[in-house]
Amino acid sequence: MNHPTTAVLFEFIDNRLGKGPAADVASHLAECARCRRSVELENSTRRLIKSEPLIKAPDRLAARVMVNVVSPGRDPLFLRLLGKLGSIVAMIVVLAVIGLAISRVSAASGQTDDGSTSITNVVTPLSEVYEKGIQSYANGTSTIVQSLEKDGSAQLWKTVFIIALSVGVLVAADRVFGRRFLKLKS
Amino acid sequence: MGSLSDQEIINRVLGGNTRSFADLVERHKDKAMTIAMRMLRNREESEEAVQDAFVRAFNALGKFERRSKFSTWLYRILFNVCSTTLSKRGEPLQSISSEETEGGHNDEIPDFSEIPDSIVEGKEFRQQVVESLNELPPLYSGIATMFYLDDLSYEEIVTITGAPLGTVKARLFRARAILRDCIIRRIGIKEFAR
Repeated sequence: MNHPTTAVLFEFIDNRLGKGPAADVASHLAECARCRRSVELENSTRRLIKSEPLIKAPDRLAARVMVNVVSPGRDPLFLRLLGKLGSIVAMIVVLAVIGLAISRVSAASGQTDDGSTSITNVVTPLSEVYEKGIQSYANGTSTIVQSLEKDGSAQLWKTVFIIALSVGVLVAADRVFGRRFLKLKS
Repeated sequence: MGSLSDQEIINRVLGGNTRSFADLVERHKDKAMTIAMRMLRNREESEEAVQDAFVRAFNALGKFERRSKFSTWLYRILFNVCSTTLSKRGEPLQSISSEETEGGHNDEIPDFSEIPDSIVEGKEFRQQVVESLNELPPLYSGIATMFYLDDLSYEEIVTITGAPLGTVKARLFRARAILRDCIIRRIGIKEFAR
């Protein structure tokens, strides 16, 4: 038998040849050192690649995958709502604390210093904005209460729409920033 | 959890215990990472690809028909993700020259009898093999890695790459032939060119 082609030799190594051709190659290999060497080289290559240490994936890969797959959508509805409510309350509390701090600083600098210090210049307008915001919120709330008392259905739906929109915006913000934060963390 | 088979873990995940999927990730992540690195040759992109492949696998787990091993199915997803990454880079996988289907490689068996055992069995040979594997074009490197690393059959590679059996055989042959030539060239450079 002539030397088998490389393709035939690979198929022989992979046990892909039929019984007859495989026997022919085997008997050729028994006599041909050159082809035997080729088979040895291929087998060595296979062994080496198989025994070569794997490239390590990051340890936290599973955690990163799970963050993406175990989404809030898979939790029960009440847990999802509770989670969102918690985020919204947290946002409101944070905003309130910041506003309160600004108001206090502004008031304190007004009492102790008649001149306009740089901090007062920065804080006073912010304080005014915050107070206006609080005032608007109070007005809005009283409007909602009034609309509910008036039992005007158009006004009621308008109010419900505004509340739903506000909650939606907060939920979207929470989702976007929350996800981004989790990604950064991982 | 370590003693559970992939199928048992999949049953748990589909039964609602989604956290069990982390065990599948732990089990297969390093092999997936090795395949991705051989194809993409960039650690950051490979990590992204592997993560993406696992997320896609999770989302499609209900469609996994279990006719193949989970790893084969996962590699198929990973192969597609890596192909997309390469396409975005402007290096599409399928743009391999026509010689792969036309048998453009020399099919004669080179004479390796000159290579002494001390080289084939030495540490340096291992290094040459790994470096040669990294020299292959991404398609061949990916196929060769899967073939050697996981003892995949030709048919499993058909499942992974979506190419017909004839094409897979031709590509695998070419991958191994190029790899062999790379190794010989490297050994030749180091040992015989003096």
